[in-house]
Amino acid sequence: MLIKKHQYWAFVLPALLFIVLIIALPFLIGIYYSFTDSNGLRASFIGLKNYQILFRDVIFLQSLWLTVKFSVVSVLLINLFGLTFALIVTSSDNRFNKALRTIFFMPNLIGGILLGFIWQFIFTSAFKAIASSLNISFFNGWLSDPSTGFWGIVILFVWQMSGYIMLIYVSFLNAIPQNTIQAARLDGANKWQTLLFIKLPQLAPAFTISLFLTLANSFKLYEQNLALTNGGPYRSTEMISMYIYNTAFVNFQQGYAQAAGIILFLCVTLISFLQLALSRRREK
Amino acid sequence: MFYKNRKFGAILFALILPLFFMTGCSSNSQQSNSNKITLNFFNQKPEISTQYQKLAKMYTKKHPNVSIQITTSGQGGGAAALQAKFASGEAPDIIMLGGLPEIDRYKDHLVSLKSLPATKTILPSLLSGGISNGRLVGLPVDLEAYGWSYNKAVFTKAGINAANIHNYTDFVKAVKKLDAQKEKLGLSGVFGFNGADTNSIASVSAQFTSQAYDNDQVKAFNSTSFPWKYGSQMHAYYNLIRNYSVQPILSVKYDPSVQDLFYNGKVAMIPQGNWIIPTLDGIEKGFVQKNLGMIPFFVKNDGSDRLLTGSSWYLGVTNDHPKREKAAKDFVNWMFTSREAENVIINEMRFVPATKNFDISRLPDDLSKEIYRIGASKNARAPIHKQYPNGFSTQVLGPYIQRYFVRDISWNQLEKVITTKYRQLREIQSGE
Repeated sequence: MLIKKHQYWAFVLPALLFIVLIIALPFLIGIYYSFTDSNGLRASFIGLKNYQILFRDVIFLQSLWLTVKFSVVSVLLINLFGLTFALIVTSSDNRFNKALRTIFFMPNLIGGILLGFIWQFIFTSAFKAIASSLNISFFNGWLSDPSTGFWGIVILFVWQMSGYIMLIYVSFLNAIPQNTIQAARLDGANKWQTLLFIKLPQLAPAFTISLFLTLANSFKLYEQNLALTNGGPYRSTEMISMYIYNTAFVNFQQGYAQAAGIILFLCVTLISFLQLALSRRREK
Repeated sequence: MFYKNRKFGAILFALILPLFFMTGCSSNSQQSNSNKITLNFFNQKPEISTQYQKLAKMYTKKHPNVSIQITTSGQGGGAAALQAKFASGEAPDIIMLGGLPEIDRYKDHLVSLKSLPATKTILPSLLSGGISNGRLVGLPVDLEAYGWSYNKAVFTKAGINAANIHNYTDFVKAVKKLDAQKEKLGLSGVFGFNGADTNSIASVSAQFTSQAYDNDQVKAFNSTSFPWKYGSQMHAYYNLIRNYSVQPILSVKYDPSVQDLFYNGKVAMIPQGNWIIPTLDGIEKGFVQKNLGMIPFFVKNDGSDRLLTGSSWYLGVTNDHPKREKAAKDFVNWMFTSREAENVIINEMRFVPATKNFDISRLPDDLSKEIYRIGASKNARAPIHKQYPNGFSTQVLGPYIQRYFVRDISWNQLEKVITTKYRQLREIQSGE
């Protein structure tokens, strides 16, 4: 009887309880800790001091800026590659394209840490072999230079995420009503025109999802960063998540790291909302 | 309706029941074997975890009511994993700690080991590394030597006798001689400096910072300024490394530098100590005895320079489980004092023991014997890099030296940045 009467709450309550216990409560406690000088074992309240130091911390600002740069570059590239892959595999329905679909998606099945080590091998050993056998210095020491190190992470992340984003575009491409394309053809539109004026506008919801996913993921990137460069050389490829982890678990300044985490949270939320709002408007 | 409700209740009950069982079981087993004790040992050196397992088994054989559960976490993640253990209320009974900053973090949990018989046998130069608030809470795991490891075969082929290198000028001469014969000897560089690892950079820096504290690790830990007294010699050595190391210097990593560059004779020297012994002998038995030697850094350059000898890791016992405290102390004591444990430590871990009056003929190779002789002598000097503030080695010193290696900053800028950052970190961390 009890359950029948409160059916709604009976179903919602267990999930709600866990969300409060596992997400909401730690989140609030986390906000509190950002106002303390916690070292993980002891903590006392110090007000806004962490935030004041944070905005003068050159390394924090550097890694934040690096993360922004990384996100912009990788969001653009991932969506470009994802869309291209999707267009390739949907262009005609044959075995070859089906195999391609699997191949493009494959990197996403491997975990970030493993991918990092695989690419580390490629960048250090394989590239070195190419450099020495062909005498091209361009391929030398990729991960020991700040700019090529940065591009190394971009390449790795694009390689990993493009296949996933491709799947989203594929499903939306398949959902485009064939009659709109046929109508365009009858009106004399060529392939490019169909793509630009018929397919792309109808892909707007796919863009919303893909941009959101890639943006959020690239802002939170950690394990690929860890496995590939571990922030090196000299912390020049240390993204914001890694900065936070190192401050918390290497320096043991956990209150300070928590404050940095809150800033990251605000950034991600703000950008995601902005992006969602903008692309939703375009969908309509 | 009633029926349905009962069914729902039954399902719920069936789902919850196993939980009770599980918790019931675990508490039961603890009660029934009240005289049986399981000690938790937190180890931060993955490379010797199998040997620790062996020691644990040996100890259980002698003391059937004590078993030892070893948790190993290392490679940079150890400190965080240990903190997680404490935060979750599962504090281990025996913990391996790296340096006074880490000991200080757990000082309220650590018990004094002063009355332990093993304590009286520890080499005096190593004791201060385990002192927190005037209490001795840690015992050094082993005796490690810091300096240059050199490949004897390469030196002989180049016509250099390491015994004739007595000061910095001799050392530079030897380096230049090696460099001149690079082609003939098949060297990729004189040094295989692993510039990618901040830890090696930190341990090399200790060659120039340890003199200031005269073996007093506590003083080093409390110091709020980075000691630049031998800064010019440090500058000279880092320049030498920058000029004569395998390039690109920042892409050289620890494992390849030992297993490939050093073992295969592609470099003459690497900035490592006797911790590379198990790796080298693992590749080829007898390599160490035949080919491995060590040269000190010439810092004071007055003939008094020796290899630095210290211990990176200290063992402590916690007070979180008072019932197990005594058993934990006994086990630690056994590891330091019993002959059988010593045999595993010197022959399988290939450690040099940190205890006094050790019969060096038991050590399996000449280098270990020499290290013990230096470490046990009156003028033994321990490195202090483990007492730098948390994160200083990996987040400040390492990265800025790396920048210096690739000429991204000048030595003056480096000095300035290191001085300020050292002070800042120390102030933030001691204010807690």
